[in-house]
Amino acid sequence: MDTLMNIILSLGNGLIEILNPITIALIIIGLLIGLLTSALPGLTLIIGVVLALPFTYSMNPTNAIVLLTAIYLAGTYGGAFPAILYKIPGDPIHVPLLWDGYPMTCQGRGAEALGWTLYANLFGGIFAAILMVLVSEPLAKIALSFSSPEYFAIVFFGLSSVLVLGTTSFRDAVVSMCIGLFIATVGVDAMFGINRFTFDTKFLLAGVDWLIVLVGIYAVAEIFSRLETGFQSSGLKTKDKAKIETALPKLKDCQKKTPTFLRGSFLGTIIGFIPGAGATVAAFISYGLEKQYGGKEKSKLGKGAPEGLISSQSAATASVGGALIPMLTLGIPGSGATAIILGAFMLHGIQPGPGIFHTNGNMIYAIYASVFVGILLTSILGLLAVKPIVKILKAPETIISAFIMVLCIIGAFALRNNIYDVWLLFLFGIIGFFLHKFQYPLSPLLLGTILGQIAERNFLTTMISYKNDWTIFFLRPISGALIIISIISIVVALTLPLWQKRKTGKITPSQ
Amino acid sequence: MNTQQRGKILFNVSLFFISLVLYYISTNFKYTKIPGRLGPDLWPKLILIIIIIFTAYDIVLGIINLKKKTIGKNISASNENHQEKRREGKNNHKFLILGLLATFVYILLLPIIGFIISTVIYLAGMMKIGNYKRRDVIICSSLIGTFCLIVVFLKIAYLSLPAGIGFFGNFTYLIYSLLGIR
Repeated sequence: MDTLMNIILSLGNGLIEILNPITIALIIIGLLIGLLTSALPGLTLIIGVVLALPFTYSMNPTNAIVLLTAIYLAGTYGGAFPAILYKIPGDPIHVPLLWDGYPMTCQGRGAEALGWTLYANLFGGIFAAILMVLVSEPLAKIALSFSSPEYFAIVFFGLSSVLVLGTTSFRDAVVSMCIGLFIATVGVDAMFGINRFTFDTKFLLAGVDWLIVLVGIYAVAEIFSRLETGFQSSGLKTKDKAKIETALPKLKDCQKKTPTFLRGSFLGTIIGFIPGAGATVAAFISYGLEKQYGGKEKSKLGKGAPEGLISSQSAATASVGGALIPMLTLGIPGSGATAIILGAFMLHGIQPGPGIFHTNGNMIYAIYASVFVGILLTSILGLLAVKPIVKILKAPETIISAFIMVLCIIGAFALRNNIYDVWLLFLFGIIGFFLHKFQYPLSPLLLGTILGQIAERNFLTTMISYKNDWTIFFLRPISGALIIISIISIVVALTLPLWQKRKTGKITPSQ
Repeated sequence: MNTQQRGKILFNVSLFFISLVLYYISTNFKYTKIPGRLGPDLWPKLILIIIIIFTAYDIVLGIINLKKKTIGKNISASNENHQEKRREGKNNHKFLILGLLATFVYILLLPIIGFIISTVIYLAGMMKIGNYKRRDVIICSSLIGTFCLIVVFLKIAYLSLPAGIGFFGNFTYLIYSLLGIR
């Protein structure tokens, strides 16, 4: 009870800290950037967070993280507008929304669909934020007792889940992850102090900053891909004349759909917590489960049922709160966006992890309070800003892409005031382009780059501490459980498609 | 489809050989070996071995699949379609190569001629490469956009941008002083 009271008090203090004009203005700016980048086809919420990062270098840490978190939060919602009104998902997260949202628009219920999405965003966001606040500090206290085997097991679990979830080819995902893990080995080795793969250059001694990798493989590679298609992504056509407004459903109707709200929000928080899964996986899995176990209304899904919108949107928004938990308490990012936020923490000299509540407790609760404020403001903006956002969607893609490229280059240069970082960005842009072209998943590479050093350090520390006895990973309860779950999930992911194909008699060598 | 598959095989072959070279490099790390203790080469070697195995497997599978599809395909029926796709592909590659080249030159010139001039040229160039037709919009947006970026990054975010060398450096500082940036 005391712990709960302390948490509530700290949250209140956090709220007081952010209730100043500058922080509130930054939250609103962040929400607008998130809504826009998520709504514009071809851009994603990750690109939105990446583009805002250079602006945060000179801010105080709280404002910097608040801004980036606001972009992340709104980014899980903004793509709902083009998905529902024009059948164009601004971000892959919002693909499940168009399955029910667009049919509703065609039936003249577009405003109602936007209203359900707004409620789902609000409910999912608040639900996950409450869980995040309640779980984080106790979890951080437990994590204080973690040793290197547990940390290695958590990273192993994160890496294995990114291989299993949301990727089409396991082999490609492994290769992509290994490229990321390899990138993390470049530079002076922290344990032995020797140079690895630096090719006698001073520049590579500090290693490859994973923010460069992230911006390169996501944003720069995306622009190269768009150049290859000649900027032919489907934009909004002027002939589209859907009614652009949001109509809020009655609370009585909402009460009937409470189980759907709860299912989506809970699932979203859990999936968000798993490193590497993210909002897209949460939205798809939640929609899939609603279609399978959604009670009486499940047969209507795909034909314009609000349940389809609620399940996917509440899960997508809830994944934000879920992803922030491991990032803050363990220092392990749960998604691409939290990886950038983690980077922003580090740029300001703060290392997220179990000790963060002792060292920067006030700041963390200020960030938590900003999440609550952000969710409420997103809903208000969602209600008011539909028309302007849809208008901006008609801006020429070529101009937007040119500016994004310059912003990426400025971001890379500003990281260390070094032009070599820009060359690395260009290189990773090309690598990302080819990986994207040959359908390699990018999230395993990113997670490999981010978690590579943590994995290696904890693996080697364990091996040295326990005299090369690798069974220690299985003998300690938490690490043993996590590693066994990871191995089982990999085995299931490998054998299930084979078993399914064999059952239908369509097995090919590639499988 | 075949072009895509061939491309993927080529990509895997490159990855395979690069990994082999890097594996060789990792065998030559200079450090004091302690008996019974793992070294700094273990982790990269493990990663590179996985890449080598998986890419080798993918290369073999890719070649097998490619051969199967080449034998099975009906050349005459898809000939017309293929030619059309090829033509489209050429155009697309032109955009990509020009974009890559423009970005390469931009990064190369950035420290020499400075952010202002190179960015105005690059933005206009990229818009042109992207086949945007309205010249007035290209000129205005690249000029105004560059100045907005300078103001935002130098006056608000306090970041430094490449000023350029010699004459270009002097020009950059002249613009900065006109904008009230010190």
